[in-house]
Amino acid sequence: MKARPEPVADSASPPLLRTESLSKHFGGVRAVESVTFSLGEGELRCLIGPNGAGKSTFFRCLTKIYRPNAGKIYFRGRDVTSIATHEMARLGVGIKTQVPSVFDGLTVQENLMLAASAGQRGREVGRTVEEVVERLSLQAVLGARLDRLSHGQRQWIELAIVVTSKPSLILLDEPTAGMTHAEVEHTAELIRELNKSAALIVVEHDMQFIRSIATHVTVFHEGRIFLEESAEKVLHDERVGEIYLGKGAFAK
Amino acid sequence: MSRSLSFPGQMLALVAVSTVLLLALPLVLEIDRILQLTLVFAFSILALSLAFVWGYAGIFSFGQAAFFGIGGYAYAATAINLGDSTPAIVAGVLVPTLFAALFGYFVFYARLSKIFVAVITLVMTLILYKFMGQTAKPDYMIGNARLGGYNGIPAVPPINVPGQPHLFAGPDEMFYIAGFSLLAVYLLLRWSLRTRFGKILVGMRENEKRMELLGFDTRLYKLLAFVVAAAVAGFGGVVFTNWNAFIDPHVFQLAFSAQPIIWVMIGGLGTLAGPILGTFILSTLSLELGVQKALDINLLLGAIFTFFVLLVPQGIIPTIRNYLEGRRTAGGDSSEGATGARG
Repeated sequence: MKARPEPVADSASPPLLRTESLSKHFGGVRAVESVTFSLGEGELRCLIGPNGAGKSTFFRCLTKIYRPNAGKIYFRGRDVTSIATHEMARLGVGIKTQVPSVFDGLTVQENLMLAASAGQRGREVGRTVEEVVERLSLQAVLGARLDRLSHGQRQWIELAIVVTSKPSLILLDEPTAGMTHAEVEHTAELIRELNKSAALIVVEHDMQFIRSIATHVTVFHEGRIFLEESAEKVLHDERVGEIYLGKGAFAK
Repeated sequence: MSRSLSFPGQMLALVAVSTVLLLALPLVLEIDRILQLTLVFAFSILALSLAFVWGYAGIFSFGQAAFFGIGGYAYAATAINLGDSTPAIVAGVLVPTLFAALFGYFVFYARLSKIFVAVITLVMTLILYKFMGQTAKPDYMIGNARLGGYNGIPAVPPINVPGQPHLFAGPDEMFYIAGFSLLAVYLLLRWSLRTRFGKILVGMRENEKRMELLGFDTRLYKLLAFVVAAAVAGFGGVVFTNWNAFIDPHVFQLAFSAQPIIWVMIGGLGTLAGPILGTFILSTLSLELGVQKALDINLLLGAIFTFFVLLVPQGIIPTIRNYLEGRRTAGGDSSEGATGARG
């Protein structure tokens, strides 16, 4: 694995990811509206917000599944607004989607081999898969087909697929949904470890989980960035409680 | 633990058994059976092209019969003009390949959905049928080869020893050529499915979006799979035209275009051996019943197809395989495998 990049301190070097006034509309619905967002090298950021706030749409714009209606996306200073999904992935952006996007008819090993072969060749493919199998303790399920695994296991394998492709920016959309308490703790550990070699943006609703992994949180509301602050401040902000879970939810 | 042979071992065993069978059959079968089997071999190559592009790359192409026909016409026109089959075989593969590359580029780079790919390949086939049917006038010539409209091109020169047109293949030699061609195409496709390219195709079939999110340009890989399948179908058309010494527009008809789909579905989608088996069973049945004229063959094929879709939707080979795997698992061997590149 690569050494952890130092967070950006030099204002002259561009951030890893930057969006400028990014918008995505579906007819009259403004799912993402004029979002200006920045993420440094090696940073870990959590995105929170109620359902329909635009978080997943924002991720889909970043991975180019959706073409934005307006605005710009820069990756390491390069304008990537009009490139295709596979080109974004080749630049080093990996995503774990909300509903596990895996190869259901293939075994865990075949899933990982495919992921590794995206950017690697020859023996490197096998070595990377072995490394990820050990790192994520997948030995027991290596020969199992994905459609025979539980939802939590499929989430975990999708994470493994993303890790295997060695991205420099990892987008995780609700990575702990459907997981047991032990699996959630395991995921938090994994995210902290992944952050040693990559920047991450994590969409989550589990406040305990957010506290355990993130120092900075961005709050989405009605397609816009509502607030960007330290995790502790955001999680105790009454306004966030009001838009997110109803008045008073965060005050305790 | 599995005690099955390794992949090279399996392929060597297949080559050995097939060679013995192919060499022995002309010694024991009557000439009409030899001709019948030669035709089934040509159809099996067509079925393999669809098995590859649909069963592994996930592209439902209604156009395989069109590439089969283009290959046949290209062979016929080149052989008539040059009098030698070697460049004609090359043309029979190259012309459908180039046609598929051009057509496929617009289809896949326009990101048409799967259903539209099926529709547009069907439309392409039907346009070719109409067009070739209208070429009866003497103006429609490719060099010395008259296209002949619905009457087609007769007296197509058979395959000959390269550079020696007077040494051409008779029915027995054509049987060997068709049989070994089928074996070669099968081995080539089995091998290709074990390469990185083959695994990418299986990945696309399983989850195209995930493949894009991993960095694979799925448009390019779909185009490549489409082109490979067109080359295989074109080669099948060359063998078919040799069997018949004749090619006409019926190869572009809807009824003929639908047949490979039935062969592949009944034999088993996602395998290569299944579609060959499906072709053997259904083509032989069609040929036998066609001779007897006791029953409308299309009615019977329709009934068989309905039976399989309702009761054996996976097809013959996957159903047998699942049954055997179920027995093995019940017997204590819990090893599981993927549906990837098995034959």
